[in-house]
Amino acid sequence: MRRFIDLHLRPRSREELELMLGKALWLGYRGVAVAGDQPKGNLEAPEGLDIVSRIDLKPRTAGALKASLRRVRTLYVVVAVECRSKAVARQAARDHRVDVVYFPPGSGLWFDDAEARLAAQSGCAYEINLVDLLTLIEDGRLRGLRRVAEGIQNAWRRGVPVILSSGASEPLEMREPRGLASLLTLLDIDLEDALEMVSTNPQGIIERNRRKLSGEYAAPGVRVIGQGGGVDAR
Amino acid sequence: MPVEALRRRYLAFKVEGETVKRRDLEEAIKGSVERLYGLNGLWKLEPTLIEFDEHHRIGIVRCNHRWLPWMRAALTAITEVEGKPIALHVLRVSGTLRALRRRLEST
Repeated sequence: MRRFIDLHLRPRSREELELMLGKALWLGYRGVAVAGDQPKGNLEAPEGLDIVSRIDLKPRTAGALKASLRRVRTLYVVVAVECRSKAVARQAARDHRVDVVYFPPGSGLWFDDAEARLAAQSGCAYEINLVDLLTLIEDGRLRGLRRVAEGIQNAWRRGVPVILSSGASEPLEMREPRGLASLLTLLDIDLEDALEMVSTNPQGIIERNRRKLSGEYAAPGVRVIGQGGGVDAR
Repeated sequence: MPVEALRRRYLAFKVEGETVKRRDLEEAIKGSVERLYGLNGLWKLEPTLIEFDEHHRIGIVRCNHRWLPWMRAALTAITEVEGKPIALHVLRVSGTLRALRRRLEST
């Protein structure tokens, strides 16, 4: 049975956060990533719902992105970058500390092949938010929709995982996971592939980062399995 | 010449948000299918609102079984009806109306 994850909730208040967590469970999600700095202390998480921390970085320059990453990488399970300039997008895609990149509809940018190549090397994923997709549909922005479809094809060609999230900032913007996945059939994406984007792919990012933050992680491909009893160098 | 039997799917859904009337909802569903998939989608899906309980805000829509993901997508893409913000969530899907109603009652 699939374990659905909504990797992008961005509630504006503590009250909304609590409502959204309850609704996520009702909709069939088993995990959510919550962006924003709502106080999480004394938060009563619904039973059966895994909640992970996430931060959305919105830097203006590549330098500002690097500075932010130094500060936040160890504090959040998921680090996402909203790409509003090409320099930021390229830096985000090549940086190992970035988990997810997404492109807001008005940015004029998309997940092109150069971006996909960099992301494939760093292990960064490409995220599509439902709220952005619905904006493109409602406004009839066909070029925007075509770029999302091209972004998915570029990601697949380079082996970059694609994530489908709600990007909801209020409960009414949330949708059930199968509905979310079905919407990608509009872009000629197979339903099974779309379901992976709301289940296996986000789950993979969460598991990888939890391992990294657990203290066992040393470097890509190197894990600490024990300490003490050093080797005699003589 | 062999003819493929027409199979249907029935989707039960819940409306969240403001109160909506049955007729407005039906138009919104058909409008959403047409906006996403055009007239071609409209005749393929044949979306029909079978019933809508305005009190419990639960409805049942019928479509051609081959195009079930398109129907789900069209329901997901609805964000407002007559200017009122709403969201539709699919609760159950079934091949017969009777089974769908039975499952709805048991939950």
